Amino acid sequence: MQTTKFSQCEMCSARCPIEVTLKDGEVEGIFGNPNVGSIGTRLCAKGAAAKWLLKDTEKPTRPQIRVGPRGSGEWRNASWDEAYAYIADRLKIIAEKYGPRSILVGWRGSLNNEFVKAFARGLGTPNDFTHNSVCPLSLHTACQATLGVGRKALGFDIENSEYVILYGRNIYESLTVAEVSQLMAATDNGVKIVTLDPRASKTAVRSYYWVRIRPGTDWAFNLALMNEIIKHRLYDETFIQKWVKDFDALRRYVEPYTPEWAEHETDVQAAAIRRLAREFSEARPKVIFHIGWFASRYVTEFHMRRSILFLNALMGNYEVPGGLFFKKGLADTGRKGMKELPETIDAPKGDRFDCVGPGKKFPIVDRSQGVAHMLAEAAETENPYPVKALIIYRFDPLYSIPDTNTLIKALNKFELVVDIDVNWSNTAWYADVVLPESHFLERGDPIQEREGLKPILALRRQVVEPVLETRPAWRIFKELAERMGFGDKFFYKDIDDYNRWKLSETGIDLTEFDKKGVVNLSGEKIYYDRETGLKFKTPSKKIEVISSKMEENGLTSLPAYEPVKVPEGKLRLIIGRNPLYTQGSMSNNKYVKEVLPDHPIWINKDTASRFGIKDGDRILVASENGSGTALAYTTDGIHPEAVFIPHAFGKRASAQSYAYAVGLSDSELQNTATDYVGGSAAMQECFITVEKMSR
Amino acid sequence: MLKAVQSDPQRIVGATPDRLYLYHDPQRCIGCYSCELHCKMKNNLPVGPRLCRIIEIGPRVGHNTLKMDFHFLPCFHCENPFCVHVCPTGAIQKRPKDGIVFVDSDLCIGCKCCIAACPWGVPQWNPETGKVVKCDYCMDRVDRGLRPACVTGCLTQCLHFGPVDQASDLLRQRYAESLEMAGGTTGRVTWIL
Repeated sequence: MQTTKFSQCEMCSARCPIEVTLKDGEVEGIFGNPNVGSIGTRLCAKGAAAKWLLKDTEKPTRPQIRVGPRGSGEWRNASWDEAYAYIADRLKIIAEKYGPRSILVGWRGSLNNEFVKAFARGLGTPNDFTHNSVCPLSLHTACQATLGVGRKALGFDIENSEYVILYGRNIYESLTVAEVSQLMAATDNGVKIVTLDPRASKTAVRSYYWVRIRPGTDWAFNLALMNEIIKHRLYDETFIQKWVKDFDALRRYVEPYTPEWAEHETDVQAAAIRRLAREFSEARPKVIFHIGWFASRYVTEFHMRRSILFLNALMGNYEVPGGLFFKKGLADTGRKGMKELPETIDAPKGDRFDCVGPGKKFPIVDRSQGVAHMLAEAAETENPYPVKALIIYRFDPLYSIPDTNTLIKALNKFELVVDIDVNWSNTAWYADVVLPESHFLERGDPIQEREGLKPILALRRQVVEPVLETRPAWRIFKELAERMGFGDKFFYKDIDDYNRWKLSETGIDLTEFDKKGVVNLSGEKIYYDRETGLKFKTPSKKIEVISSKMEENGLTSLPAYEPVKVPEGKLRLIIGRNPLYTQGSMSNNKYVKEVLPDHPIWINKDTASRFGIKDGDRILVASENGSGTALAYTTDGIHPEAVFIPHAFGKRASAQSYAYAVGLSDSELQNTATDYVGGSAAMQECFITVEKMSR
Repeated sequence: MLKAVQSDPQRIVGATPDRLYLYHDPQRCIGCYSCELHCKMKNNLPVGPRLCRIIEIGPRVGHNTLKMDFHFLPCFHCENPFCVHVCPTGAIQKRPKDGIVFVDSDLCIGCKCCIAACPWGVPQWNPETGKVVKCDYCMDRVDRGLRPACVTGCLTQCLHFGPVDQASDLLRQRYAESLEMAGGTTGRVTWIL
């Protein structure tokens, strides 16, 4: 018998709504949820391959307790009760000896954020942190300092725009189904995509202009673009007067940064910058300077992202078709918001482990994000205090934080490392206890509010029974809380019970998801009044060129540009995503590996010949932090200063026979350079040598 | 670029049987490989046989332009198929009503004649069954009124499935529009700055 069920994918963090067809209770196929306009039946390769992941027995199949040395891969099976008791006993001892703040709780953003955060609060530690410092953090901080709202407050009406400018935002390889659909629809409508990328990504090859920019100089390009736009008054004067604070400061600031100056720095001709400035201005306000997603590349990331926000302001493109908009949610449809578990528990106070806070290393970084890549420093220096237990939920510090070797040493200072994940990760492999979470088709999660011009609520519902001895996150954290003595705070019975509580003030019933898998909150696109209704939450209620938040914390709003340099004889390692992998967590997939088992390292043809490297040669890639080998792919499609690998290869858990030790791992080569203003790691401040290997 | 041509409710169904065709619009393709994975999952295949393939060519950098091509290679479901002619047991057949060329697995003896005969390398060896397997446009789905799995999951809708004349219509429409849009039409040429 054939049936269909609706849920949400989780092969990456896009979480696209899906429709699953079952035959006699077994998963037959997974496609997009056709009830969601921007998705239709579309679903990427990873989403399709989720079917195989259900049957994958190279995941942790039941709770595991380490018996050999850390990282040895010697485990014994444990019952859930035993594993919980093991964790709870040790956490209690650590909390007593060093205080609850010595327990760190880190997670990769997911629908289960609220359970993890509530668990950390229940433990009494102020030290919960996201993976965001190795992803979008500097962008988030830039938005907060400039607009007074986080990065997720902004949306982009790509479909109706005339120009979309992408700063490495690789929409056609780092995929979300909705964004691909929107950009393709925009292309049908005649949009001109402008991709700035040192590499000819698949987004670049589908763009109107590929700006083959010198890596690390996007900020310089933006300064020159602003110089040209402001000098020739190509901006939206009305919008600037109304919504931008200290515009004159911006005018004076960009004066020295002429297109001629930028040509030398960026390898983009001055004439091209001038031409783009005019093209953009003629099309405004239907121009989107996309703020991006991943923003952990350079030490100046924060200021580069702020320059994107300034360019959008110059276009006056807020709350118009084809421009930027504030994402709308439940509140904008006259409803009350959904409840969240952490709101029912007091947030523990006190200094954080990662030096986030006024007067500290990261004065303006959002406490709720944390700085994940401070893990090693905090453990090694015990400054501000010792940290002794690490609980990680579906985040892989040992794969995604730069300088793996240093982090491994630092992890040895922890008396307890617990990892909760669906798959083996490098960190799980290094943990003391592993609690296996069920596959996303085997569990329900909290309801997601997908904000936008037409907001919806989406729901991950359990589609099939778990095959292995795994449990859903809502249950794992509830049961761990019970063992720790604060089970009363996790008051729900099961996920349906929890979701009913979440919805209880919204006027929406859980059964409303039955028919379409999602609940549409608005039939019409919702816009704010762009004359009076833009919701900047800075002290001035405007876009702040001179940021109140920065100035209060002793930071310079408009610092001088520092030229970018590459050490003699070295190349810059740039990273990105591949459409079959996107993130590292799902790389051990037999069918994905069949299509793309490994990825070569991209190197410019002229650079390669300078080093005596030919296409297909195996080369040794080394930095001060690590080394590895890869096959060379020589191409004109990359800037001569750069080499490229995607993040997804070189995994270290030998239980994963398809992914183990295949290819080059970026984090093993990178060092812990940091953007101290925005908070992100600066992963592309990584310089390597290349050498042809003898046969 | 053109949107997908919708099936026309006014279509006159002729006396001759409709021929189904899977048309790949290379200008919309982004090389995401969702077609390959949806095919693989739908057909419950082991590692080895790949009933459709995306082949990437490029990126290639010219004087001031960038180009990359993606070729989609399923079965062409020939009118006069080499594979059908060489099959000694009649396992490979052509369905009269819509022209789908398929393998009746019960009749296949694994002789591989079809693999040698097809100029495009379409028939695939299934190491688990010791028989040949090939693209049949997901004919069980087609018979249920659904599109093939690859088309259903395709991220950009660069795969079109329907009567063969729709593909010609789409190409003619595109050609006509390109005549109107002289000088750098969107999506076809990528200029390097």
